[in-house]
Amino acid sequence: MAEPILTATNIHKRFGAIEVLRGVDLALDPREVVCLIGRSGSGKSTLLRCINFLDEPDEGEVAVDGLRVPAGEKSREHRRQILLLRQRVGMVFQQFNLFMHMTVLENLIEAPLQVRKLERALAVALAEDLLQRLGLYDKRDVYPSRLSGGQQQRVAIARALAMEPMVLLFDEPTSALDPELTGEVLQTMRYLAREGTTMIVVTHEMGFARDVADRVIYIDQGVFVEQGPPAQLLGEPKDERLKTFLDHVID
Amino acid sequence: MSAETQRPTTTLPSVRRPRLSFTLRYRIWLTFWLALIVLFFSGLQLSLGPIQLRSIGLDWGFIDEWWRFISRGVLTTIALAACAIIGATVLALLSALARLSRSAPLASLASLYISLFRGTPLFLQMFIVYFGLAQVGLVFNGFTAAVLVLSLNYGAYMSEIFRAGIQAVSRGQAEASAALGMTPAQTMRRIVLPQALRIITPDIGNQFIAMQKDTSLASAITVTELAGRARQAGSPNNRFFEALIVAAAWYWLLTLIFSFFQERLERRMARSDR
Repeated sequence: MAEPILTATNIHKRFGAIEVLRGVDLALDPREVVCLIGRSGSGKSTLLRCINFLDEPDEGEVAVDGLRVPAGEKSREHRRQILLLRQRVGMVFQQFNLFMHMTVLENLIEAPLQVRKLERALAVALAEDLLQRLGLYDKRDVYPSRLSGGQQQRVAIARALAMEPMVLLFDEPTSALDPELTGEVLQTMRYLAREGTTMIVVTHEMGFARDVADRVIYIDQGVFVEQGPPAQLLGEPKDERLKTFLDHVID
Repeated sequence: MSAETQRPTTTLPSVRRPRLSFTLRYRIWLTFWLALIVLFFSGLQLSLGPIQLRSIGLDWGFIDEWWRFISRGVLTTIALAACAIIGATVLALLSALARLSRSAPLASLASLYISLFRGTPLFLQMFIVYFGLAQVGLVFNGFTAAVLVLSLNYGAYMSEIFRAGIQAVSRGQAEASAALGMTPAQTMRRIVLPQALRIITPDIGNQFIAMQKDTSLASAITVTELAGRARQAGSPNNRFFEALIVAAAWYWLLTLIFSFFQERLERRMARSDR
């Protein structure tokens, strides 16, 4: 059995009086694709944001490739560890969040230049190769405001990939898109899965989960209620809440 | 069905009457109003029946004699404005960042600074720094005091503009930057500030234009800039109107020049965005 590439252990997160995550444990194998499903408020996005410490967990620990980052510390070393963690774990946001004052290419090379301190020529070459593979090469000198939502999200995916992360987190990547644009993004994600990218995807797209996920996890009120291969979890759900949830989700 | 095939052609009323473009009519009227102003100062007299209209006659001899003296103040005015612009911008940026930081001492200090200098009159601040501080042993010359006060005062106003601009850049972009492993400093320097500066340029430009004219307050603390010289020239000869009009004309000219360059800068910024 291979060592898990990412583990989140005993993650607790409170916002004010509300406990959003109540001791969640997640272990991710290399090349595994996990889909997180649940109602809004169930804690799925919060878990993602805790993994890369965009929100600092109250308790628990995240480990990636030997780097262990415990929650709740306030030291400079802790902040340094978080930066290192984020180099290994990339994120794609629901609202794309592209840098609007930079072209597509500049968006992609920004972090490799600033964080990994790559040579510009090398960063550009890597970025252009990525854009080619995702079918966006002809847009490399275009500003994000001129792109469709689907194209922006695919650029956002490329930008995250440009840092060559070990794991990619997707926070509802298609929820902000018009229906006819979700297809191109999901297709890109399928391609990445086929190429062996380790992914955690928070999504409502059950078709994607069924086709691409190795494991689907249903989360409710901050706890993993049920998890398993998609055929089993989506086809023969055991938990009542999961059954109700699936009935309400339009496929 | 049949009614749709036969449609009578009608011209739309009033909207499409051919006339000179708005821009052209605008310029004609602008020229007209300016001509009226010139007429107002020309000294011409008109009698319309029982009504006597007399425009103001300026002493052009005085103007001819004194305009060079007055105009020598322009360089001082420009120097005051230039120094204060730099000072104010530095103060504004630093205090905006302080106000937004997570450091309690910095944030509270910045808020206090902004409140104090926006809450007291610029005129009063000039006197406090020049005369008041001298009383307790801290002496500045007029020019330095004026630059100090203008920087502090306008820095406070511009600080709020900077803060609003920084906050206007979507938090999502800052999050994405963080998620890519960039430090808060890199995020601010590479992502947030460049976009914030683009947003606030018009506002900041307007502040600079206002500052150019507030340099006139330096005349209250012995600086011989434009307004001060105008009063020096007009007072003994009792030609206030003429002297001050010369000064006013200069301020107006400086403002026009500055606005012209500001507009060009704005247009260039807009072009590189879209």
